[in-house]
Amino acid sequence: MKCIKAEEGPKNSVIYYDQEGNKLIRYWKRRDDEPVDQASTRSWRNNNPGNHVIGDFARRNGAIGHAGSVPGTKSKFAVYPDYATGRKAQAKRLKEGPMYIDLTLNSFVRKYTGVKPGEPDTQEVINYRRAIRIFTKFDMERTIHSLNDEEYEQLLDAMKKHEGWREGREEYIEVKKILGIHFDKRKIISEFLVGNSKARRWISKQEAITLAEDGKLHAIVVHSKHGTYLRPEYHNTPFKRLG
Amino acid sequence: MSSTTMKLRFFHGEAIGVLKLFWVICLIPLTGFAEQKWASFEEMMNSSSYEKVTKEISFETRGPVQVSCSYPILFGKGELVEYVNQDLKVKAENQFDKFVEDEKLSDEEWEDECSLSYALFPAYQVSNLISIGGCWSYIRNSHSSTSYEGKNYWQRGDSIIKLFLDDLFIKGSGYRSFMLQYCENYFKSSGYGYYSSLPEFPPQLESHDLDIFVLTDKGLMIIFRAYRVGGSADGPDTVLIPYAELKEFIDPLGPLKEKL
Repeated sequence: MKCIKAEEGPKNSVIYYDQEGNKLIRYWKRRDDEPVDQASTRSWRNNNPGNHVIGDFARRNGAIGHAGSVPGTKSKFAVYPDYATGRKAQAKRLKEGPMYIDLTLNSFVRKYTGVKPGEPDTQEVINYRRAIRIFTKFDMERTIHSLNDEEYEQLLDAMKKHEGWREGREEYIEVKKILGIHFDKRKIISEFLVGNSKARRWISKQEAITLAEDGKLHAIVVHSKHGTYLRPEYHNTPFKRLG
Repeated sequence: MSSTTMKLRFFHGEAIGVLKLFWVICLIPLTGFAEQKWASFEEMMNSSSYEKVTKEISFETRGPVQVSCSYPILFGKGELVEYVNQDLKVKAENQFDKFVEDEKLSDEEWEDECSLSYALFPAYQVSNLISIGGCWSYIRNSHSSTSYEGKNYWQRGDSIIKLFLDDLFIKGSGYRSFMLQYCENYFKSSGYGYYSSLPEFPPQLESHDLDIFVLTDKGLMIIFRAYRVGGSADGPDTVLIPYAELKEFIDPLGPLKEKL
């Protein structure tokens, strides 16, 4: 699935869309009654191993949306279309520009966690350094620039772990299109032909309404005093022309 | 609900472009947050059911900078409430000024959004005890960092005491060991954060990890620093220890005596 857009879904989930409008949902918890402690991490749900905040950098490096707030702020975390793009963005984050490239592993962590020059190390810095040291076993006085490709990947792996990475449940939902309609004797739509270029079938109006309510059919459910019916999504072909 | 917004514009040489200062005073009817049953620290942080002052400014240095602070205005009468309101106001506004000053003077290289915020919010309030949570967030170079704090005040007679963890318990009773074990058991049994994602190197909790806390109606809530037991983006990581569990350690003459 090649995702082109992503947005925040209910209950901390992230919804990805492909060009056809099909959806991939990454859930926070596997089940509603699952404890919060065993939930998936934001980084996994957003394909964002560096936990980048949405902004110019993330957009320039392929972010397709945002989901989840930075605690205590209105800023949102970026969503990348897939893990490879998110990983590439993180690789670029540390090497692009003069911000980190010439810093040692010990000192880049200070900047990365927002400690100002001259201020003492925070506990967050100490914890971050410890994690990098444990996972990479590198001399922490080496600069990022000095790491070869393999070592650099090890650094990214360590950071991914420390930023938090736990996979969870995901669900792919194929959203069918309405390709044709049948009218009954009263000229009211009674059946819909739904599917895609590979497979299609006729379903009843009620079945179509249920699918649309579940977000599995490209149609809008309208509840009126005369009953419930479907209408096409905005800018789509009117049903009459499908008949 | 009523709100007041004040906007000012002024210039600061070439380095800083247009400065916009927003003061927002949101007067939200206070339903009495003391009775609020917060489910989590995050819920406290994101609640809008109390009156608060928000101060925001945006300006340009090497790029756009946004600075904000917010603090609650507690309802009620008496020395304690007045003291806490004043303390929070001074603390938040000083921090706001420091953020702005530091950014104006900073020659640090960065790109993308720069956002600094400090928010204080109520956790618990009874006549002689007030507990306030705090959250600092820094966003720079597309990465965010968050840290938390707990501010706890107790009125004893005519004096108001800012509480540390040790003020709540009987000295030498082993409460820190008990609490560390309690938190570790909780994290381990639930496979929390690094305890499941990095089982080969589980965090070794230390006594100072207990130092950030707030009081709630249900128990003592320990707030762990970002990257201590889990990543920053999924925090705050907290453990709520019910008062009943702490019964044997609580100082019978101390701030939590009512909980016994």
